[in-house]
This record gives sequence, structure tokens and C-alpha cells, in this order.
Amino acid sequence: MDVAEEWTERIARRLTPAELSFAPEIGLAYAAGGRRRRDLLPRYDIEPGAFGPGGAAELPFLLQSLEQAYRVLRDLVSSPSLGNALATGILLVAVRDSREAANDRSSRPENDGSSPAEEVPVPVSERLAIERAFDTLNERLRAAGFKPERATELTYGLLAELLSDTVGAAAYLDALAAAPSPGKNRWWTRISRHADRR
Amino acid sequence: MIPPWLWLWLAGDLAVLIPAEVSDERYLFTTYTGHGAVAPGLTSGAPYKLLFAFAVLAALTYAILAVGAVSCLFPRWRCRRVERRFALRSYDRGVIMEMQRFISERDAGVQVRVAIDGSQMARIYPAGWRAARIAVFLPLIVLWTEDRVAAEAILSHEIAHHRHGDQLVVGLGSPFTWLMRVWVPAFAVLVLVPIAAYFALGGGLLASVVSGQGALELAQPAELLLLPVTALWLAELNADQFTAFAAGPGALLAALRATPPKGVPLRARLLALLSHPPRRLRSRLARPGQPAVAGLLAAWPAMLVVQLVLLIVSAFIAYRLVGGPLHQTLVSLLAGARVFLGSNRVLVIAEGILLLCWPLLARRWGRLWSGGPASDGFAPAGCRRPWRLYVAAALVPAALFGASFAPLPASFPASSPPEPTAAPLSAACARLADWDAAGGLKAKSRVDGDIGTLLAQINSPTGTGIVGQARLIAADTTTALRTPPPGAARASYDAAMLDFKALATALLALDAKNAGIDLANGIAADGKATRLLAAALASCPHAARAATS
Repeated sequence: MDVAEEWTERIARRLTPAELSFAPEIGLAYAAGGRRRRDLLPRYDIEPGAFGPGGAAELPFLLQSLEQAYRVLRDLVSSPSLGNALATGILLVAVRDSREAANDRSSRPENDGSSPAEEVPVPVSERLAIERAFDTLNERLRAAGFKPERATELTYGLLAELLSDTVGAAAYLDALAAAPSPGKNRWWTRISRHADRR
Repeated sequence: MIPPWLWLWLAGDLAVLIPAEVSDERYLFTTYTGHGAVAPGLTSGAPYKLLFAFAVLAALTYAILAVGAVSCLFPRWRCRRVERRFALRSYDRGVIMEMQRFISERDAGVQVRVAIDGSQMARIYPAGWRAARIAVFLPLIVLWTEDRVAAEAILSHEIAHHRHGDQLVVGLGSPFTWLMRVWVPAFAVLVLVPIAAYFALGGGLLASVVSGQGALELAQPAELLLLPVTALWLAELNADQFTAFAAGPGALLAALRATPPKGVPLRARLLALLSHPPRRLRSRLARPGQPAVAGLLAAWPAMLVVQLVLLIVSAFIAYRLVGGPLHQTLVSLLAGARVFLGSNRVLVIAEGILLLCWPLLARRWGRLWSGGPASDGFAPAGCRRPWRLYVAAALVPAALFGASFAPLPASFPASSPPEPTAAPLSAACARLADWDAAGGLKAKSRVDGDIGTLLAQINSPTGTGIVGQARLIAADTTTALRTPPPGAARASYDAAMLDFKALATALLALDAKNAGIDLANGIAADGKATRLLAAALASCPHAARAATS
């Protein structure tokens, strides 16, 4: 099984079980890039039918967010300081908890007297690397249309999955980012690309 | 529930409308290019070039509808194209097998194909004349797991399209709906740009004529799209009704709720209205009362009334822009309404018969497409509508049929007088020869020459000599009016000479608007007079020889 198929299935099993049956095909199509990648996401240039684009599948958006956060995530999974899976897991939980606590505080109109969540003491450099990855991925997921709570849940799940096997995750991220994302497939874009090649 | 209006429209379109429009457009092309009633000198100017462009655009609309209609007749070609475009394949995954089972229990003639694509939910497409396939997209696979009732309602809607025979015209990769989606915005741009440019440049002598004729021609495509768009909407509403009966109105509403048009741009929503009714209307009709059902049944025949109203409004605007008298305008509109109702009599009869027979035909029609009694389980007993609803709906075509015999004006005010068939030929020829001998033909030729020169002056960049030419026209038309021709051509001849005389007066008074109207009217009347005179001369060999000599 191709790395894109295998890892997309892993992600679907963990985060979007309703999409598990076609997860390998989705991973393969996304890694192929071009039109196959574009077709995975909702688009409005075709007649939508009686029920429109409908409620979109989540998995293609997860892959898109991973690809868009490629640099940060690639740095994270290549970092030698994150070799210890147990320590990394603890770090990730700590980051998630701190983000959720921050969200809770910001969502409350005023201080209700409760004390902030107690944070787990962790090494600063490792914590910074994970925080950066967490924030970048979370931001991408929100930009893709996920609600903040769901985006946080997905971010945590994705990072946990990637950090569970950093070598495999690096190969997977490389596969997702290998083919360029399709631009607007207009005739002038194609002509200018052709001219550039010449 | 609703008769297959799409098929009735397609049959009428291919058999009657398109041939009639080809003939109309040919006439317009001939006229606007100077090979018809209008003199070539006049058609060489910008106004007629613009009118020619409008006629081309209107013709393209007809051509596109014809291409769309004809391409529906090649379902296998469409199937191959669609499956290649969306990389549709059959899969034996559990979720797909469940969907296939659900569909086969309701319609044995439909197969499932899967697209690794997130752009839609599910769409029907033809695999042959009767066989069909449903393309299932990724969002529906997710919905199947998360909200089975809604997902089944979506599949039921697509199955209903198959049972109604819609898949050849609508659905995934339909060339018909694609052409409409592409053409309507293109038409708006292609029409608005030249009109704006023409009037931005100051219009010109024939501005009112161009705007009048333009209004008439530009309204034509809107009138033309009314029936197919309504038929498409009704096909969708019929599929919704079927779904509501088979799975309950709650299931249909759940499907609509589960697929909100979130983030869809306004342009895409507007374009979607060309083939699908608004969601609010669909939700409202998920539990229709009997008046609403009767309304749905009568909607397509009633569109003929809307079409007639559109036609009358556009013609009224055109007449007012040209500046015709109000009484003449009203008489013309009534005469036009009579022609419209008379020419649609066959369609109205077909609508009435189809509505009255549909309670008997509906089940057979469903079997024709789904191919087996097993599929009848999908049409529960409640789906049968009371006869009286169909009879009530048939009142609309019946009223239109009755209206087509109303005592409306039979001819337009400016219509040609009766052909000279009663008068003895020899006597008519003798009068024609006398007229020619008295210098009548020469007087007419002089005026025609004057008008040709004037047109050349109008179209020249400097426009010098127009006033002198106007004086010459005034003198020559006075002479020509003293020697009118005999027979059928006289009325047109008199009208033409009077218009040209009025043109001269308007030009001398520097009244460009009225000059344009008089020139256009005069040229039209003169063209008619010339045709009638030519016909009369052709039937009188001696007179023709004399005239030629």
C-alpha cells in the first residue's frame, strides 16, 4: 500500500470514521495533485444538482491543511528532540490543554473566579515547536471552515497521529506536498505556464 | 405525478419551434443584410449592423437549445463522457453495496458508480435509452453513515428522475442544462456590450428604430427559456414529490437540511436556478395541499400565459420606442396575441390531453423507464392523485384554447392590402402601362435614387449635402405623389412617398428623431411597394417590356 493510502486511512480511522471506506482513494487522489486533488474539494463551476455540493467530506480538508502546514509539520516530525514518543505525547496533551483553557477564558465574558488549568511543566524548546505546529495547523483548519472546537479536536488528533510515527509521517507529508496544488485551471494560466516552460 | 413536460417541450421544440425559428431568422438575416425589404444603402450603417448582431445572438440561442435537445438523443455517448470526466467506477465496498441494494429494491434499472470527488452529492445519468446510473460522490458516502434517512431521500430523488424519464435531459453531464448555464450569462454580456457601446456613441439617426427592434429581439430568448426552465423545475419538484411519498416529507426535508448551500457564491446560486427551483420553494412543497398540487400540475400550461404577457410587454415597449400611435400599437398587440394563441393551439391541446390522461398513463410511463413491475413498489398508493386535480389543472389549457378563438383583430394595421386576384388581368395591365407612360415609374425611381444618395451622405464621415438632398426629396416626392401606381402597390407607394416627404421636412427642421422614424418607415413601405410592383409587372409581359425599355 502506498504511503498516502496507508496514512490517510490511519487518519480517517482516528478522526473521520464515516469516510474510512474510501480513505485510501482520497489519499491517493490528493497526492496525485492537479485535477484529481481539485475534484476532492467542493467547487462551484459545475451544475450542483438537486442537493448542491452538500455537506462536504472532512478528510480532503484535513489533507489540504496538512499540505498547507507542510513546512512547520515537516520541521516538527524531523526534530531530533521529539524522538521520545512518550515525552512527545505528554507535550502534545499539555499544549492542547493550554489552548483549550485559553479558549475557555476568552469565551467567558469576565473572570468567574475559577483558577486557570494547571499546566504540565515541559522543556521550553520542545514545547515551542509543538505549539507552533499546533497553532499553524489549527489556523489552517479553521480557515477551511471547521468550527473552533472541531478544529482543535482535529489538530490534536492529526498531530498525535503524525507524532506516533515521525519517520512515516515525514514520508506522508512529503507525498502530500510533492505535487503542486492546482491553481485556477484557466486557459490563460495554462498558456502562461506553457510559455514559462518554453 | 406531474406529466413529463420536458419531453413534450423537447418534441415540440424539435418538430415545430426550431424549424419555425430557422425560417424567421433567415428572413431577418436577409432583411438586415440588405437582401430583403430594406435597401442595402440603409443596412450598411451601424444601426442595422447592430440589429444583425442581435439577430445572430437570438439565432444562437435557438441553435443552442436545438443542440442541447439533439444531444439528449445520444445517451451512451454522454455516459462514456461523464464516466471519463468524473472517473466513475463501480466498487464493492460495504457502503456502496448497501446503496445498490436500496436502489435495486426500488428500481432494477439503476446502477451505482462512485466518484472520488467532493463537488456534489448524487446525480443520475443515462447509460442507454432506458438504463441509468447514479453517480455517488464523497459527501453522500459520509451522509450515508451519518444520516441514513437524508441519504436515502437523496437517492430516492435520483431514482424518481429515472422513473420519470428525466435522466436523458437532466442530471450529470446534461448537455442541455450545461448549454443553458453557459449561454445565459454569455448572452447578457454579448447583448449589453454592443447596446451600451451604440448608445454611448450617441445613438444616431435610427436610434429609436434600433432600440425598438432591439427590445423585441432581446426579449425573445427570455420568452424562449421560460418553458424549458419551468419544465426543468417541475421535473425536480416531481422527483421531490415522489421522494416525499416514498420516504415521507420528513426525509426530504432532512435531505435539504443536511445539504445546506453554505459558502456557495451568489453567481453559482443564480445559475443553479436555471435548472433547479429554489430550496425554499422545495421545502414548502414537501407537504403540499391539494391547491398546491393543482397549481403544480397547471404550472407549465400557465407559462404560456406568462410567455404571452412577456411578448406583449416587449412588443409594447418596442412600439413605443419606435413612436407608433397608441391606437395602432394596441391593435397590433391584440393581433399579435391572436397569432400567438393560434400558433400554440396544438401545444395547448396536447397539454390538455396529457393532463386528463395522466392518472392512467403515469404508472405505464414509470414502467417504460424502470422496466418492470417490481419497481412499482416505489410508487405507493398514496401517490395516486384524485382525477379532479388533473381536471382542474386542465382548465388552464382549455381556457387558452378557448381564447385562441376570441374575436381579436385578425391583421396588423399596416398589413398589406389584398392581392389583386379579382380584377381582370388585362385591365390591370392596361392601367399599369398607362401609369408607366405617365412617368409614374420614373418618378418612383428618382425618389429611390434620392434616398440612396441621402443614405450615402448619412453614412459618410462628413455628412455634407444632406439639406440640399432633403429639398430634392421634397420636390421629387411631391411629383411622385401625383402619379400613384394602380392596384395593390398603391397603398404602400403612397405611404412610402408620404414618409419620404415627412423625412425631408424633418431633415430641414433638423429633427433627427422623426427623420429616423420616417426614413425607416418609408424604406419599409417602399420595399413593399417595389415588390408588389415587380410582381404586377411580371404578370403583365407588355407592361414589363415597356417598363424595362
